[in-house]
Amino acid sequence: MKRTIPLIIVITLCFLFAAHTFIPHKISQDFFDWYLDWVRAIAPFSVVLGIMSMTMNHSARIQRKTPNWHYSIVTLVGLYFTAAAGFIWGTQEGTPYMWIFRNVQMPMGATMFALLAFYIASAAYKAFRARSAEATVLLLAAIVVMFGQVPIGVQMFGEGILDVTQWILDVPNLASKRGIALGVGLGMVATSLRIMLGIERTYLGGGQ
Amino acid sequence: MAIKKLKTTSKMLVFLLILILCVSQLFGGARAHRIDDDSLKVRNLQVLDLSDDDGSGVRIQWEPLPFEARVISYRVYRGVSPDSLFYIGELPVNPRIGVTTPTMSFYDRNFNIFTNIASPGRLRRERGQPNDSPLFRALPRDVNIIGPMLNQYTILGVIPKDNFYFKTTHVEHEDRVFAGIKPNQLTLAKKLIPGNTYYYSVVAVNERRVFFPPAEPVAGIPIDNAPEAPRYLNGVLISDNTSETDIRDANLQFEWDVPVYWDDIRFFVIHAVSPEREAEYAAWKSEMTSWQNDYEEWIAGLVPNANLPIGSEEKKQYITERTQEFHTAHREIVSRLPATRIWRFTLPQPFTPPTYASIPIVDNQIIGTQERDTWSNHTFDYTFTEPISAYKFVLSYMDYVNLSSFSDLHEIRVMNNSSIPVMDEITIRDQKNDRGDYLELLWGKPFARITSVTYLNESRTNLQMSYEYSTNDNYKIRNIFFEISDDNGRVLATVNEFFQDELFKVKGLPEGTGDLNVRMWFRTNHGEDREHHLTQRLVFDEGILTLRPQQLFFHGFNIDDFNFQIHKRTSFYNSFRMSTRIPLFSRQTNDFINYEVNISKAVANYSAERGLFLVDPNIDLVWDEEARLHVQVPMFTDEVPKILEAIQKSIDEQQELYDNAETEEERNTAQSRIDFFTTRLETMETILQNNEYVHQVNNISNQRTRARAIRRIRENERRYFTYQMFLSDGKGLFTLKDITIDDYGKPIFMIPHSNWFHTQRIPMLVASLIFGLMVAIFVKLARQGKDLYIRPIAGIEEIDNAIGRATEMGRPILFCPGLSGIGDVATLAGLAILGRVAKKAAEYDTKILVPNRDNIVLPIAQEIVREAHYEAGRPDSFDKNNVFFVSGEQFAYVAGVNGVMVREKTATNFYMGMFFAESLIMTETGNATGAIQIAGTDAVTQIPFFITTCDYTLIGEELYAASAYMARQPLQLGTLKAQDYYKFLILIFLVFGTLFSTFQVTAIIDMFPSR
Repeated sequence: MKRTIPLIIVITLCFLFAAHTFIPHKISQDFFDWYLDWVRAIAPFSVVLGIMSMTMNHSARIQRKTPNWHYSIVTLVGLYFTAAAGFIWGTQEGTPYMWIFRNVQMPMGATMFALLAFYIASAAYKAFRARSAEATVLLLAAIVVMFGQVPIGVQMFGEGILDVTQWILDVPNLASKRGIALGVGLGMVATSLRIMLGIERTYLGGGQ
Repeated sequence: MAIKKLKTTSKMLVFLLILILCVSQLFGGARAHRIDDDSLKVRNLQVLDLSDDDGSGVRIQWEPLPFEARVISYRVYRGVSPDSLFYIGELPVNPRIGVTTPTMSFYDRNFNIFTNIASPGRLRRERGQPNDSPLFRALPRDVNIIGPMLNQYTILGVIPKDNFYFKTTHVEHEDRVFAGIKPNQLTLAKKLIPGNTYYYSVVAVNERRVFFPPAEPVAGIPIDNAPEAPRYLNGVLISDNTSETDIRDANLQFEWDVPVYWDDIRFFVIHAVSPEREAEYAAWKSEMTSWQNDYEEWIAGLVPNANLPIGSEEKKQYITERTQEFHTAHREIVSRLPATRIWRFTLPQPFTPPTYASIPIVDNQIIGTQERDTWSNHTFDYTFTEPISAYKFVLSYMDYVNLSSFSDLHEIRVMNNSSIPVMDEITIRDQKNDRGDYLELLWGKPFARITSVTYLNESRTNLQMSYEYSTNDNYKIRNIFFEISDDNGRVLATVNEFFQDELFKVKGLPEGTGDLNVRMWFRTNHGEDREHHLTQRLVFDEGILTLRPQQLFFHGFNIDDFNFQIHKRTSFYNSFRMSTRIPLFSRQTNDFINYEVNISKAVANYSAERGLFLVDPNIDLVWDEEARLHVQVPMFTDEVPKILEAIQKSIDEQQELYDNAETEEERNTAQSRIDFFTTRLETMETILQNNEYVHQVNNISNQRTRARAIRRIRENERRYFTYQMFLSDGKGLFTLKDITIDDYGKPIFMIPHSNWFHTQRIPMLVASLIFGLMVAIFVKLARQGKDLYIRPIAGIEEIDNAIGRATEMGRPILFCPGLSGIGDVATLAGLAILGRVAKKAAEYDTKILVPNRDNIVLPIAQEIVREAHYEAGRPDSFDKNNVFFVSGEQFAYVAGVNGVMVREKTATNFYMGMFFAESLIMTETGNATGAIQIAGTDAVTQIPFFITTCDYTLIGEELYAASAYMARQPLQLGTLKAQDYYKFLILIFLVFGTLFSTFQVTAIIDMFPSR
């Protein structure tokens, strides 16, 4: 019963929404809007689950004094203080909540994002080593595209490099992207079909 | 040991220091509070009447505080007395820039939100204000507070329709029946009442949310002004006569712009001024301007004039009397207007105002119309004694208090009928595949134009041209032909665009070719039509060194000079309004016909005891063509007899007054009232007897059923539309055409219908059915024991080894189910893999860590891992805290996951699901920690990063196949096999589609919907 009822709900709704794709009628649209309203209403409650999980996880670390447990104190204080600031003083400009957002969260997020530049350089170094024939082709294509993107490339190789770059992006690159997209689309349909028909049930917990 | 302890203590101290700094910063300044410093009050606060409006608008103006005050917003408060002012809105300011203008203005005009669902439930003083402060937050949704204000504002209730139909209650209040509605079930909109006094204050708030002292409340009195004087009147005399003095059959046409404030304009009037009266008109206009200046000056001095206390009854009386004096003087001036009225339009509320007039002329005369159906659009008898082109014309607007404004004198152009393009036949039909809220309008044949030209080589012999085209569903374009010629008429190239990708190349033009001419025509499903062609010139521009496309011509008309306007009216009203304006280049449009969402009702009263606002319970049901009025029905059952009884009672009362009247005047008054009520009673009885819909509704005794019937009939009637098409150059040269009329000239009303099947999605349905069929076949084959070969996928096959490695090393496994929510199929695929991995990990007694970014995915992941442990027979090894929430923020999540990798030293990392920019940061960290990494995603942009940094990557569809591949069950494998064969089918279509298209056969492409 614990698995059957959710399965029935999933299968029924799957078929209803699949039908909705082909039924533009107002009744179908209104039903879909009504469903979305419910999703929007229910979704915020799941935040409680997230907060509980974080609290339990970090409390356990603090209690057990696991390595670097004091980071957990910062996390929990940050979590609850930010929430309290929002509830007490609101979330408008000039409130403590916005102060935390602007002066703590945004710079920290930007810092993490900035790391990406260095990681890309490191990844590029790994990818562009000409270890095999395929890797060499990749290296050459990358060099051409890179020179095609910067003014010095045009200066060195002339305007022809722009055409070659564009060709690489428009033909082999786009073709492979579309090939992947095609497979992804089919994979999505197949997975959805497996879920709709009850073949795939792993998402309900456990195996078959 | 001591060093370690010292390190831990120092870390703790640093964290505590940061925390103290943060908290002190927050409590030290960022808290919302108020400071008392009069220099921080806004200065020169003024409340000014808005000119040209209907008396419902004021402008609040003040000087902003200096930049150093770091103001983040100016909050505006309004009230009907200076001791209670409610927040009505704010002007935000960027404190880093400040305000660069010397004054700031906030407009309080027309209907705007009074209270809505976001308003506070009870009266709350503004943040940080002392107890004696007059400032409150927004008006609360409290009947006891709003109710007494109903006579201080014009209040409109905007009620969601189902709230009106099903949630209003029957309330009898002061001998009248009302529909009562709770404050949280409607939105109230307000309008200021002309002549009333309102008070305003402004408070500056700085970036630390400190409220500066409020400005002293300032009073303002909105006054009804004369409408804004019309600026333009473009007139054209359309006549095919050669003699200017003998106009036998012509049309006088005018166009003008809509004024900014037109809400209270009742009449639009055009006057003719003969040549000999021009000087007289100029003198008269000057007198009118002088009156206007006096009136505005008086209004401006109304509040500062302290002879009478602001807001007192004496002041009100003074305003009323003085306004009347001004109005009388105005009427006297208007009565001497040296011009003759030739056309008038009465604006029925609440429609958009007219922007054109068409006046037929026969034998130099305008014949007056008084027809019933054209009550809103009159012409008046007038004979032109001079050539019409010698006359000048004036446009005037008159509002509901009879204040008028007049334009200057305007001349007209004389043109003939061939100056305007012939309007194509127009088809109107229901738009297919929708929920029934669009009608389609289609006209004419396809059009195309060149939009840009680029040279492909330095010798300018090769060109690339971009083009756009427009067509409609009646004409499906097969080919577009572009004939390119030089100025000598020599054809240089002809391009046949059989696949319209809006781009083509022209090669081999002669060197040094200058300007070009392009001729375009089409082959459609109706065949090739060379007569229907467009021409465009491409002129070499020295500035940008390329050809610049010029205007597009069709049969000698410049397409860009003309626009279409679509006018429509419902069967519910008898006047047209403009629906949309579209360029002549368009060949098709659709008109949105919405389902009713809200019902607007004036709030007439309130019931303090029951906490309800009271509105009129009667609602317009249909338009009765016989009675020429909107038929209203009461929302509540059994009300009709009571209404009839009340009218009869009024007649009896008036009859009694008539019988006892002592003077002739009293008798006349009573008689006119008797006539009025008798007519009303008769009309009602006729409608009750004859109107089918009213009959239908009144026969229902159940309240809910009645409400449903009213909703159905009303909504249906309001959605029937008839159309007019208007083709114009915007300067008076126009033609108007009724699109939907029957053979007898009567309008045909059309309604869009809701469709049950989306016909454009038939290919999608067929494709889905084929795929479903293939799945069924392969599942059956698999069940029958047929060995289905599935190509090996290295990434999936290595999963077991990766788990084994973690077990051997005694370290945990990390599994990231992506950053998307549960609605993403990639997340579902990731979770399916998690189930298999968790089971294996449980069997090997290896710890698995699952950090989550989505709240809804978290409990599902927890359940999956728990079930996996139970299935593996190791429920004891399941720890709920190993499946945990990290953060909803993308980079905070990355930081958390990276921390887990480094601290826990995970041996194997799985990334299965949807990933974004964070993918590389995570996998590089995993790489640095020496973990074996397996990733799978359908995000095309992240796949290269995973391939570079992970040991194995499931690319796109492999992610979806992984769970089935690992399960090795016939049902699952059947879907995989079907997927492969289906891909093969798509490949066949691709190959043949490409081949056929190359040979200009677009049959395969055309099989699929283009949008």
